[in-house]
Amino acid sequence: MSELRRLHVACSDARRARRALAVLRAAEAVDLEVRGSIPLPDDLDPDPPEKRSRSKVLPAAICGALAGGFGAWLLASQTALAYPLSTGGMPLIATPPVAIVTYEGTALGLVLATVAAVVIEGRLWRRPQAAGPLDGLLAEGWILATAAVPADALERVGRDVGAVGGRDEVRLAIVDPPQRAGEQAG
Amino acid sequence: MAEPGPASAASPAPSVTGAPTEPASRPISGSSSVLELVGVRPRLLIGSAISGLLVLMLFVAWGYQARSGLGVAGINRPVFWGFYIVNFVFWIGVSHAGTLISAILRVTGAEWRRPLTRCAEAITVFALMIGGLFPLIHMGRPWLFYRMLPIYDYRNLWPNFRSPLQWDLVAIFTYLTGSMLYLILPLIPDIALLRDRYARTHPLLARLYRILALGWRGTHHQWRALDWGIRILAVAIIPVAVSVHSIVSWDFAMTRVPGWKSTIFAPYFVVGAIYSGIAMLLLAMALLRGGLRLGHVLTNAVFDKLGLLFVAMTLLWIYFTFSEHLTTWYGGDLAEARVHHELFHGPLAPAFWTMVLVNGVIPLAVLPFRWGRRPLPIALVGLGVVVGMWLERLLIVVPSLSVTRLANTVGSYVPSGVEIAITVGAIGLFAFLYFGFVQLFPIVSAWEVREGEVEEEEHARAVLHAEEPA
Repeated sequence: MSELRRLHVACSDARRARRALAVLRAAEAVDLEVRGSIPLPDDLDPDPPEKRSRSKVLPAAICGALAGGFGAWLLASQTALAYPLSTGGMPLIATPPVAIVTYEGTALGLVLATVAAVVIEGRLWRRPQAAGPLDGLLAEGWILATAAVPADALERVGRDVGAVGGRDEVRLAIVDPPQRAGEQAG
Repeated sequence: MAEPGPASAASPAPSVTGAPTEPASRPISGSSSVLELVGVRPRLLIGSAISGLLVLMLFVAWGYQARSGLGVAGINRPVFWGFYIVNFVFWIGVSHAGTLISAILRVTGAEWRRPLTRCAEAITVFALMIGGLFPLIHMGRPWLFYRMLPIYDYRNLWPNFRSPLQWDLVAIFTYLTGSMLYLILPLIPDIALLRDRYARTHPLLARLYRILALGWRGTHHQWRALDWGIRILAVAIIPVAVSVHSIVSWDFAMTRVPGWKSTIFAPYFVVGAIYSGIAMLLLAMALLRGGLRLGHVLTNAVFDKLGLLFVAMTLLWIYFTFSEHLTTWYGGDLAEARVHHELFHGPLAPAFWTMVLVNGVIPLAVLPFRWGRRPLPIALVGLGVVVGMWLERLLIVVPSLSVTRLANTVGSYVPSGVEIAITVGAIGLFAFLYFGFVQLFPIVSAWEVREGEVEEEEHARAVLHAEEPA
């Protein structure tokens, strides 16, 4: 059971990040995470294509729109029945006003559901982690990769990743994690 | 996570470093310099102080009106809608600057949108907040506002959804919610960058940004979800924006008041709204470019492209205005003829012809030329259009009410000092909110600008590779 060390790699562009990621994958590094200050290309996704889940934001937005529209329709059409007026059971509000309110309710439901889905799917509700040693480089457009690497392979992985570019193109930092390889796998 | 380890013995490669966060020697990109704009600056502070005084004036005047009653305003029989409704329509119109323009440009994939989207979206949110304030001010007793909300209360009554004023409430609430979220969502990655940037130097600010950035880390998962969210909101917000100003126009067009009863009022209002929105956006962009030295981001090319859109909107505005006046004039309705006389030859004629000059003649004389679409001339034209569009709202609201179908209800309207103070104070409130936003958040979307730079670099590299001999 080899101890794991957390390796942080910062690359100045996507090409070098791709090569660094290939080195980490070849070294069977676990717990891979790639981060960037701009949307990342698909081939930098640490998950293999077959493990990537489809985004649920669009279905959530559609459900939200339906719920919002139904709620607004109920509000506009049914509340009028509660008026203390004798209407002989006839509706107080014609279809066009109900349609306008329903339309706005649909849009509101869609917007709220979309944002809720982004928050949930992006796990934005989680407490943010403490900044890593290379996080300051994110603001300068670097791409950060983090992985847990067995301590005995660290020297080789470090050398291979370092060979991806010069000092102005690749940076490394190592952090000691508390867990061991067996725990990580579990 | 444990503390960063030293450049340990287990770090073999020469590029393994123990001091990894020292600045890179690589030139800092445009997006990075955008982040450096955040913070208190003397010019912005002076702007905040002056606009803060205007905000104070607004609330003192409003407080005085609430205490004394609506009689202190100049509105009276038969002109019951005055400056407050004019301001309401004007600010709702200005709010079309951002969300609509930004959303249309996003959906159509216009690359030049990148530096201006946030600047525009912020205008939308603040203009909508101020626009939404005016019905409350106009109510005279704003504490009774809750009666418009769908809350079941002791009166056993629900809101009257037959009224266009009630539709206004629903539409503006939807638009404000959507616009705020549309501003906030793309802001999160930039706030996260500020959080990381200030983590060591400004702990208090970093704490604020840590809360606002939620749990953003910039992983694939998060970028994918954000991308979907922004795309859906961009598509959804366009019809909402159109519906909002259509509904505002129906406040007028659903009546039988001469000059208001028109079938083209909804598109006419929407066109006017986008026109005034672009004008305000150009004005704000020119001020930001000069004040914050953003010439490298808000380039002449961005002004040029937005200027072309501005020309198109000028032509549309002229077309709608001409159609609206031509059909009512040709119809020969006596009451409408009196409204036209008021506009063309009466006491409001100077305002009408000023509007025609600054909204139609000057933009068409300046904007078709390339020099006219440079920042300074286009900002001056924009300022003229902002003033002209406010006059247009005034000329829609007041003459139609002062010249009614009944001869014995003809009256006039002179705004009171309270109304003028509140109107000027609203401009101050807008500036105050905007200055505050610019000091706290990057007014140019750093990640979108950077994304554009990277795409350009990659495109250039691909072209170079393609041109290389095999």
